[in-house]
Amino acid sequence: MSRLRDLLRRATAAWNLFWFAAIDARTYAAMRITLGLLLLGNHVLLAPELTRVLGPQGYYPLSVAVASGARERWSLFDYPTDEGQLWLVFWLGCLPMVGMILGFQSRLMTLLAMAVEISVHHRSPWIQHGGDRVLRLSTLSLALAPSGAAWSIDAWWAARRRAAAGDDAPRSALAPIWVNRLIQIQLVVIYVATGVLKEGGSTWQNGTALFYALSSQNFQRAPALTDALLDHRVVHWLASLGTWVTLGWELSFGLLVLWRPTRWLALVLGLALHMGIFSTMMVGAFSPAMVWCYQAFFTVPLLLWRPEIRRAIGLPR
Amino acid sequence: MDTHRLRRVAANLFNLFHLSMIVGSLSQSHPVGKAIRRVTGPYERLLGVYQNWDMFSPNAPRVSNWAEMVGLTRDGREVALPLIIGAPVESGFRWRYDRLGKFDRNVVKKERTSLRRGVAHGYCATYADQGPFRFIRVEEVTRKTPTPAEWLEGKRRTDARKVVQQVACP
Repeated sequence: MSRLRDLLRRATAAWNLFWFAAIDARTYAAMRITLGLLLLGNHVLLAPELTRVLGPQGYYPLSVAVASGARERWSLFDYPTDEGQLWLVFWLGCLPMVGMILGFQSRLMTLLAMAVEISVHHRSPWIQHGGDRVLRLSTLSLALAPSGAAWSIDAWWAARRRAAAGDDAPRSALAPIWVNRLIQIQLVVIYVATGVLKEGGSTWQNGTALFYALSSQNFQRAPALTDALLDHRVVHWLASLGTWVTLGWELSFGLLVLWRPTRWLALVLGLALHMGIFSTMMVGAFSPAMVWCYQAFFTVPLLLWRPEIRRAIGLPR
Repeated sequence: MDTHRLRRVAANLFNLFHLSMIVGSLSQSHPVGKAIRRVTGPYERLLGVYQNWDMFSPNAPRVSNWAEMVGLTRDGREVALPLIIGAPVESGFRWRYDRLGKFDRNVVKKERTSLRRGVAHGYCATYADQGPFRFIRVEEVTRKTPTPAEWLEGKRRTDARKVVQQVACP
């Protein structure tokens, strides 16, 4: 009985260590600023097509969206009745993203940015790409972290108030790691899930998948250049090699990133792959959104022997 | 219970729920996944965080495609209507993701009948002055990529056309 209790105690401690170790709050601050920039870029790039994709008289009228019968749909873009109102909602939607970058009311702004993203998604799910979904998941996670504790107007304001109260002692902001863990897990899930789905495909097995992906005119970024490159046999060999490396890397990403000595390999290969995709193919914000998640692997849990840290994150002394 | 402990309990509960959503969404065709989604489904749908990661799987697409719209009048005339986006550009540099391109590809997807109906009804109203139309015919043009070996021999893409759906105007 006492062994069982001991085992349970150890399991609980391991669980708490995994989810609630402390990290430097600047990790979340960096994530907040970079995610804010990404969201803003992704949102503003909607502008050239806004009226046609989200407008009341666009290709997907509101009446059709509502009649689609989708449950749990809600959108800020349901309310505009003319183009002027649509543009107003659209530009107001940028404000929470700017707020995230500046760190003004960080948590609230992150939640509002999430509301804007959800609104675009529900108004027209048919214009969404995988990167939008990664961004929504990342924003949701970050909204739960104290991302305004450093490099923010919030932190500056809090320090000013402390100084006014006579407290000038320097502080290092700490935050629990669990949001970081959620982002790590989500990243592994995405790569492994897509690897498993690809594994049975004939083009991935015979090494032609990358050729077909690169030659699809729906996705080509520089069509004439890509087609000209594909005229060379050596590019076909490289595309075959790239196909198998991509598949192997996706399937093994979870293991590679888990083990510290191979973590750099998993992330460097991923960075190279996403840079390749981004420079040759039009797949929206998918590559930047995925690379954003890599930040979650650059955190080091702070040493847990310091009693004030254990106290701060609610671990037993 | 002190605040730290309370926060930790809340975080644990959220993590378990969110991870269950991931598991349920990934295994939605399995009975266990279905059971989980009965609980986590509303959360997944409301936030749009479903776990569908089938990029270029199980195979990379061997075709490029787009939609074309044809209006059919009561007196039997066929009118080619403006395209949502049309054939992909073959030169230059595309610096921005075409949201309309994604929309266009969804319009010709086999299972998107209600989306096509909605888009076609929009066409009926928008281009009524060129009709009025009795039907809008949605066609898919597919541009097939040759195999890598054929490509190296100099063969290039070939176009084919098929009717995806014919929608009656209201």
